[in-house]
Amino acid sequence: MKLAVRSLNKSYVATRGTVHALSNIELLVAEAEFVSLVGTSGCGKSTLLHIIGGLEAASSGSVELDGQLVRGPGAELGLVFQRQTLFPWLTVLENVRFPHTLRRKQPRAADPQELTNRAVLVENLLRLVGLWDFRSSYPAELSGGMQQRAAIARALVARPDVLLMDEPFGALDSQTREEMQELLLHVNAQHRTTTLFVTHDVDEALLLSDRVIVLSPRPGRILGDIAVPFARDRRTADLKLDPGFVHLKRQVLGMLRHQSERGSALESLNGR
Amino acid sequence: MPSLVRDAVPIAGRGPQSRQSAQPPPRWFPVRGEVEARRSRAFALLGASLLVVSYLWLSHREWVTSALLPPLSSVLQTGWQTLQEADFWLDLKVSFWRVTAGFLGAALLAVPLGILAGSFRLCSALLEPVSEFLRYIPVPALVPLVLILLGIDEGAKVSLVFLGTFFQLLLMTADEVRQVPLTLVQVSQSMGATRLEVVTRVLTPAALPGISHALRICNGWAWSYVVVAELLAATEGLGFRILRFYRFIQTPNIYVYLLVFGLIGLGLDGLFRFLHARVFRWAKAGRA
Repeated sequence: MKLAVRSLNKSYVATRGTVHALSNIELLVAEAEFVSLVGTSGCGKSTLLHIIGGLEAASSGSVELDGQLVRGPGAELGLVFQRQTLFPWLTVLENVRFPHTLRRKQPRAADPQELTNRAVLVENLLRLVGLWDFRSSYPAELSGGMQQRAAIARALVARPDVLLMDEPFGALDSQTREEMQELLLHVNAQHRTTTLFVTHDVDEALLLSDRVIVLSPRPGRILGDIAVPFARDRRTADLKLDPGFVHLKRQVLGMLRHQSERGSALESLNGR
Repeated sequence: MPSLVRDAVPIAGRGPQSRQSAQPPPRWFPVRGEVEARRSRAFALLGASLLVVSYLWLSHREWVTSALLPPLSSVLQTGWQTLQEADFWLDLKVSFWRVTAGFLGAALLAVPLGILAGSFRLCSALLEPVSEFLRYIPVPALVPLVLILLGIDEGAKVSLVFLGTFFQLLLMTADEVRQVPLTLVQVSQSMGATRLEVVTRVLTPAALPGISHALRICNGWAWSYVVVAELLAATEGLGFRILRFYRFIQTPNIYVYLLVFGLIGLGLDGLFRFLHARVFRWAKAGRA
């Protein structure tokens, strides 16, 4: 297994007492697999992603990458956030090649072949996300969608073992969002990076993933683990009309709805 | 058809209310909005003229002696003479040197330390409470101690400027570094950046526009501190000379030197802003 999350729990102290955010999460992700975590807001899906990425500590349990314990953020785990995270003082090109300029990433000797390969990788990725013509622009001069495309290209340049995406298209309008989903499928078909993708959008999860993990709110538990059987070279527009897709969507929405009804009923009882 | 339109319930933003939004935006006083450049230039000129006119009006009152507010003509005449005096240029040079030495010294030390304090919690614990305490000690109150320690030579004046700006700059720099979104740090770590690289290649460039702003503000204060130092113990410098003029009640000269202070301030401020705009083009684009 590429990535393994074992009996992971997370609770933290808030003003109203201890919040149990994640409960006994078990998750295995295979090499090159694209897995989505869906759930209503506040179900702890982002927290889970942050723990996997080494940004937050779990209360108990472990995260392993290729059998090695994850102890903190590093080049093995690439991150793409919802908020724009490009470096505003660098151009698009400088942003995307930033990982190559880090000391840890320097080849022992300045191998000319390696340097050419890197330049080619950067150029290919920029072309792939349609930003080659904007390589000299600063992030502030780009639209939200373009900024996210550059952020994805930058994350891939670092060649992470696993790409962690935390609602990367959450702040975009629906039109741009669909374009980005199409683009991510296209990028993924070429780079096949193992990806863990957090979203509250069931359509998005089903369109992009090999597997969809459904999380319940408070505490976050895994409700379902649904395999998405469509071929990787899928087209989002066609897929949405596919009866199989509609069936899966009902299944996921059903899980989420059932859970949230139970949750709100419990909450109103507690309130009394 | 017409009756249908009349009976239709207006939707928010359409209907009768839309008449308001159809009006052009106010040309003179839009709230936080842009106005034409010539209008804002005219108002800047108006502000300056108000100052000059009030001065003229007051200086022509019978109940105002010329020792208090000398006629503008005599101030300008004195100003012209001052420009030809070697003493003036010496004062300017000496004060400028003191400010620059003290301020540059403070900046060269405080900015790196502030970056450390903003980046590492323990550096902050080590440096910031102490700086907070020291920055509340008024610089004039430090003068006697500095004179005892360093005598009345250059070192004392430069030190006062240094002491007045160092702690402020350190704290302001640390604040600017803490303003940088944590996601930038996390993302750079996820690309393999070391701690050193996170500080030098992410936090520092991200905080630089804010630090540059802090430097501009502190440079203004530095001029106050040099005058404090010169009023008390000096044999030349703009502050020293102003005290001399007071002893001989040479009011026009005092006004000339005050004008000089104002012009130096405007000049340096403009220089800082100009450099800021040149160096941080990306930050300007970000605000648009």
